[in-house]
Formats: sequence, C-alpha cells, structure tokens
Amino acid sequence: MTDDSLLGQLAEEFTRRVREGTHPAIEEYARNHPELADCIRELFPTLMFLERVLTWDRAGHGRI
Amino acid sequence: MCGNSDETQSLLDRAKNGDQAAFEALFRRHQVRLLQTIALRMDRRVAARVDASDVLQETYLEAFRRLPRYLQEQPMPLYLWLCWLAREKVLALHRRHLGAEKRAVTHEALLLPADSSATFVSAVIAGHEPSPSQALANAELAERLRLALGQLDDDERDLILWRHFEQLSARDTAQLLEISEAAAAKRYIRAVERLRTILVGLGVSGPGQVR
Repeated sequence: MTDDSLLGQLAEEFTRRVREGTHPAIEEYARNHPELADCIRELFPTLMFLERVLTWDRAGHGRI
Repeated sequence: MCGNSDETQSLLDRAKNGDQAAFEALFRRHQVRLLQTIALRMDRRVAARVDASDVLQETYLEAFRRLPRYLQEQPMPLYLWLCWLAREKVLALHRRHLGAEKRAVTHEALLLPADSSATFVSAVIAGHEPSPSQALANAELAERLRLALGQLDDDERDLILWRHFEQLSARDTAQLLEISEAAAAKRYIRAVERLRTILVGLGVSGPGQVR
C-alpha cells in the first residue's frame, strides 16, 4: 500500500470517528504510524475543522 | 452494478416501465440533499442570477431523460448518479454564465459557509454562545474557509465537499470521478494539503485558530 493510500484510509477512519463523536486523538494516529506522523499532524487538524464546519451546515444551520 | 436497496430497485423497475410517479418518488427522497449540493457549488455571481431550485429542476429533467441508459448500465447507486448529474449542471451553468471569467471568479466566495453568522461560528468552534469578540473572530474564521474553498480547483473542491459535506466514502468519490480508489485517495490527500496551505495563507493555523 502506498503512503497516500494508507493516509487516505486513516483519514477516512479519523473522519468517521469525529462524526461519531468519539474524539479521536491526532497524536494517537501519529504514534501508531510514525512513518506518516508528520503528514498526520499536518493534515488531520484540517479534517477536524472541515467536519465541524460542514457537518454543522449540513444539519441545516447554515445559510445555504 | 451498484448498491441500490431493494425498495429503490423496485421503484427503478417501475420507472423503467414508464412510471414517472415512481421516479418522482425516488427523486423526492434526495432532493433536499441535492439542493444543498447544488447551492454549495454555485458561484455567488451565478447564484445571484439563477436560483439553485431551478438547477435542481434541470437536474430532475436531465435525470429523467437519461434514466433508460442509467437503468441499463447502473454504474453507481442512484444518489451518487444524481450527485454527478447535479455537479455537471452546475459546471455547465458556470461555463455559460462566467465563461472566460471562470478562473478569476473562483476567488469569489462560494455560498458556504455563512460569512457573518455568529450562531454558525459559535457552533463550529465551541458549541456555545460566543461573546461579541468571539463572534467576530469566529466569523473571520468562517469567512476564511469560504474563501479557501473558493480558491480550490473544481475537482479539489468537489472532493472536499463530497467527503466532508455529502459524507460520501472514498469509494463513492472514485466512482464519481471515474478513477481508481488509489487515484482518488491521492487526489483527496492533495486537495486537503492545498486547502490547508490556503487556509494557513489566510491566517488559519488549525481548527478553530485564527492568527
């Protein structure tokens, strides 16, 4: 599996857990996948940010 | 072959035999999400001229027109197919209304997220009512995300919105873009990287943080 494929899988899992409200820790992912730790620390906060904003809007609170 | 439910497939079978009411029933199930999908992708200048509900209606008519071929091939679940058609309609609308201006206007904001709603940003950031100063900072943050999304290429923006707004899977987005799952994963990671870079450039250093 390429780094991007693994990172993609981890990102999907992380996003699912954010949606489920289980508050996944970014550091947990970085520790479990040291070869991708820098990418995880760099990208996952953006995923969390997107989930909060877009999921909230999707629930109909936005001005779409 | 795709993963439509038995009930959906039953309605599709009726539609195949010319039952337009069956197709309308199917479409109605998805129309709220489709309307959001369309509105999310419309450039503000275009949205000032064309109502998203008109684009939804065009999507419906196009879907009904193409239904026989879809039913014959069923390359993806119905909802994904409707998303794909809706996206095509928005892209065509942008080409028609913006033409050569298109690149320049991607910097114009999309309709999402709301750019001045204190309620919106309070829910995003903290889940409680913000103080006036917090509301101002949070509105700033929302505005920057809106700008950042507007600066992505169409495919990048679609990937981000499909994955995080429509909550489609990596496999779904690969189907929509007609590429392999590995290629879709790569593009998605690149899109998130680009978005992050743009957000940082706009002063957003992380979720909920404004420099």
